[in-house]
Amino acid sequence: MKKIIEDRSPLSLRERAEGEGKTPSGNYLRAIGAVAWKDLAAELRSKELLSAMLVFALLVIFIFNFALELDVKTRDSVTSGVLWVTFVFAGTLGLNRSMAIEKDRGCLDGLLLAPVDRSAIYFGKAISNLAFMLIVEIIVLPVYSLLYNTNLFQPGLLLIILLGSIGYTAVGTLLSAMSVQTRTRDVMLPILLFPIILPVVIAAIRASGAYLQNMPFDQILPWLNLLIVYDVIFIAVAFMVFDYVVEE
Amino acid sequence: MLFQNTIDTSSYMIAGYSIFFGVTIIYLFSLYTRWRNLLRDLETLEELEDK
Amino acid sequence: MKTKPSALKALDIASLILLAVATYLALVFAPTERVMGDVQRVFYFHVATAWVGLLGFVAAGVTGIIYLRTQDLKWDLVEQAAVEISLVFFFITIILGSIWARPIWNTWWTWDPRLTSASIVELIYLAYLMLRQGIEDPDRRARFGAVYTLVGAISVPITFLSIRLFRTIHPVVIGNESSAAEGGFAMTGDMKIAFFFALFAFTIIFIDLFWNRIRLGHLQQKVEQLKLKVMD
Repeated sequence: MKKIIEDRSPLSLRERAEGEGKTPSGNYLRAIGAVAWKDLAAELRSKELLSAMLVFALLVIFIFNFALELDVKTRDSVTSGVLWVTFVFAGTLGLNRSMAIEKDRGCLDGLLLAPVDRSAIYFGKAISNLAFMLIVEIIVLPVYSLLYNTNLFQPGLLLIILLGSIGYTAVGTLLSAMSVQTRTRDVMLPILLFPIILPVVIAAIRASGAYLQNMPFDQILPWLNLLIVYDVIFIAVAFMVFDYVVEE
Repeated sequence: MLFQNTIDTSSYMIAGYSIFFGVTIIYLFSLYTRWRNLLRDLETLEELEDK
Repeated sequence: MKTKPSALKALDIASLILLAVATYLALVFAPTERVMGDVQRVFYFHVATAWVGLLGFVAAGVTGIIYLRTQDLKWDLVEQAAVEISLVFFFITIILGSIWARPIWNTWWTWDPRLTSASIVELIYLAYLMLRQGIEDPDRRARFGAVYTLVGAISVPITFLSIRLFRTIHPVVIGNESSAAEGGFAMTGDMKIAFFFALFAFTIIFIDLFWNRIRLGHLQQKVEQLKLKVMD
């Protein structure tokens, strides 16, 4: 018990960051791992974030059942849209809570004191946010498959979900770091995030739909490329700019 | 030779240009008003500063 | 600070004259389009205001980067001016686009990539304004504003390309016609004169408004700093 609490404290993070291996890159990776692990370990114990995201996602899927005609005919064309709207909204919950926890418990200030490059904090947070989102998605997929009798476990679809989630959390982590410092907090994140992640939403929905409807690969490729380009660009931008967002 | 008489869409044209000039004038007016208000604030503050 | 530099006064007058000439060219000089009628004249100002919006959009992104590098609040001021002007002009663009679409394609909105992207830019600007409103510290406000305009400046072109890709793969009936018609009426020589003159005139108008708005920003900053000083 005590060990886990200690592991979450910023001081032990610093110790781990200064760590056994004295190489700068080793420290950097270690710092990222420490930040990410801090969140994941905490979540494994409390499960408050995951359960909230999961229940919310399932409720959204249920609402969609009553909102749209999800009968056999229209299902194929609409499934990818329903899935991604669900992921986007549930993802917002996760991003908000994840950053709020940092701020409220003062962890963010502690992390900033640690002698690591600020971007390591960004990568650590982004990785844990991504992990949470992927976990929720992995659970939602079979539930959706069962409820609507469609097989969603196709490798292409899983790839799209991964790429889309990466883009979403890359930008989301950066913007949530900003929104958590405003007066309106939780409400601010979707307003900031949604216009920016439109390319992810468009590309992911189109590509997922194309996979589900077994369209030829050359129709899916441009969307895949778009997702990859977006992910690379925004990970780079967030990495360069995160410093400005958390400095005092 | 599909169109013998050009359709009369001049009301839309008038609407369009009215909107353009309307919004522009409102914006210019807002700039002017804000300038005036700031000048007034500046005067007041400078008086307070001198005291 | 309170007296306007004479260059700016001259620019004000020049802008007004250019606007008047552009209006004349668009409303009187240019011939009436055979198929669409007079509403097509809206097109000259529709594209010209979009051009101004675009100039502001790029200026906002660039000044955002410059602010982050220099940490000089003067650049934050310029960025706000750029956002405001772009916000107003894209708004006009969108409405004019809608007015143009209504009689021609019998719809108020066409989800055309350019119009849709302009609307997304408006939403980003509104988010920008709300973000700034929710922050007290001027330095943090400026930093966050700069980060967001930068992120927006990179995201919107990608969004535009996505929508266009979406439309080429899934052509919408109305949309196809409109994207064909955006350049789909042949412009005669006189129309081209009106068109390019409008672009030129509005570029000057942009510079004039930008300069004026930056002056306003300087005055605002001066008042705020004095307020802080006096209130202590």
